[in-house]
Amino acid sequence: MEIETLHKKIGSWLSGSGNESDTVLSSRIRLARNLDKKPFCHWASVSQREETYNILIEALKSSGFFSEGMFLRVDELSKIDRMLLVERYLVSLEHSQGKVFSGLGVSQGEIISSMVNEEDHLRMQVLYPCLQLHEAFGLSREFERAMSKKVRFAVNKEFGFLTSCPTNVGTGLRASVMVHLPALVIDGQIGQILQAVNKLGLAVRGTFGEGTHSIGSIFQISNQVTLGKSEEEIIVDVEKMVKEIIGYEHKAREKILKDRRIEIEDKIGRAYGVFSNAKVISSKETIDLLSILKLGMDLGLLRSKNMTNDKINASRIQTQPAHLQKFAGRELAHPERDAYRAKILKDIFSRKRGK
Amino acid sequence: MLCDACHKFEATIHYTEIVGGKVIKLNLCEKCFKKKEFVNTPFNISELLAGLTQIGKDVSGNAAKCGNCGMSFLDFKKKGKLGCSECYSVFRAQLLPLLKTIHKSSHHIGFIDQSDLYIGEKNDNVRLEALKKRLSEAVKSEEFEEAALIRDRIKELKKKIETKDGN
Repeated sequence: MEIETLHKKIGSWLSGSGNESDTVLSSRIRLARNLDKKPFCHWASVSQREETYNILIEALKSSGFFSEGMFLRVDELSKIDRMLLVERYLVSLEHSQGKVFSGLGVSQGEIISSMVNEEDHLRMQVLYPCLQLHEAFGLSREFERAMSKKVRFAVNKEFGFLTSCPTNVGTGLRASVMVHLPALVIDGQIGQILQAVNKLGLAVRGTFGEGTHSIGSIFQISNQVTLGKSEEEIIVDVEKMVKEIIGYEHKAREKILKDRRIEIEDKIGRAYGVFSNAKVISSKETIDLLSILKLGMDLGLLRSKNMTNDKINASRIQTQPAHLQKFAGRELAHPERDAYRAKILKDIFSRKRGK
Repeated sequence: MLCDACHKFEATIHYTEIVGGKVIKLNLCEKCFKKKEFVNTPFNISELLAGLTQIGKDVSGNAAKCGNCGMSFLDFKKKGKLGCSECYSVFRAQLLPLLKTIHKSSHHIGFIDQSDLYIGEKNDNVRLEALKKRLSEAVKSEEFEEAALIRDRIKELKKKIETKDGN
């Protein structure tokens, strides 16, 4: 596995097959951990950052979870490669800034990844397709167990796992689910629903995590509280909320199918037309139209054998700016980028199934 | 209250956006909210700290320093991040009200060890058996703190199984 060829395939967690695949794109578990008594990353000197980097990369390498995976010094990568990792959900925007001794470990298939020296010394992440929070958490605990045999994590009985920011202390657990809610957006109910989610103590984030916008009706639902609740409670709370929301989404889909079928069919046909014929297309338009196509597929209005969840996911990820530039093998300026994107999309959509 | 954007309709959505460290509170009607793409940042520590008057106004504790990493409480207030794991003990008293505000709790009840590897297991009875085995292991190897924790987890799980059966 190497960064030069990473863009050619999408992570196996984007396969799109599993529970609730019509509304849930993926499930993610993140555990924040720090080394006992070592200064947290923002407070550490360069040599201290180097020390934690070496300790943790060594531990990750010998954990057994990264055979055939890869390890990267994020701060030594080009800007395009760093953005590529953000587009693949392997590093945060903050980590992509490339402060000295920023590390990353990625497992084959990108199910497991770990940022070293981000906000916390270690951020362990497990990504699974569709709604599989419990399964993802099970794997993250096995991974954590292997790591805790190699290094001593900062933990105390009163506050649990100690993190750089007090918002993550306790379990250090963030359970988040990426959901696709096009009918609630079309129907205009989304504002009320997201407001209710916030009131109930869960967070809604945009498509690319904290502080980002939502495009293509994609939202991330996750827990805010990490202290005073057990891991299981946190996961069950998020899962319950997600199930509730997708219940509303299904109702909204029935409703638009009944009342606005022609309008929806028209949108789907137009989206297909754009992908087959456009000469230039922006990233935002791409993601919005892919959302319509996915809705069409999930409603049974689009009976193209050529359309699958993994293809839609691939089209969304591989048409992001850094991916495009990796495909092109050079930097692309803005207007050129939109033309190249149109070309790639045409390619993807004319490709035969299973390729 | 009228919508901040169009000043025509009643604002029904109130939310806080943090852009480049600046907090912007917005009151929008549903129409304008729909136009605006959704942005949400859950917490801003320095804002919270300022809001907690007992911390914000009381400057006597500011100079206290962590002996392990050298961070003072004033540093923490500026950065919103602690300096090392020891800071949690050094600034414990000041942190308690903050943790209560953020998490509605100031005490961890999850795991601090690896006793329940089966938490991903959906079948509670399978988990219960695994936990019981882990408990006897912990007792045998005299890891009593861990044993006590596992015992609590077993109690919790048994209660869950009982209430399930009751339904």
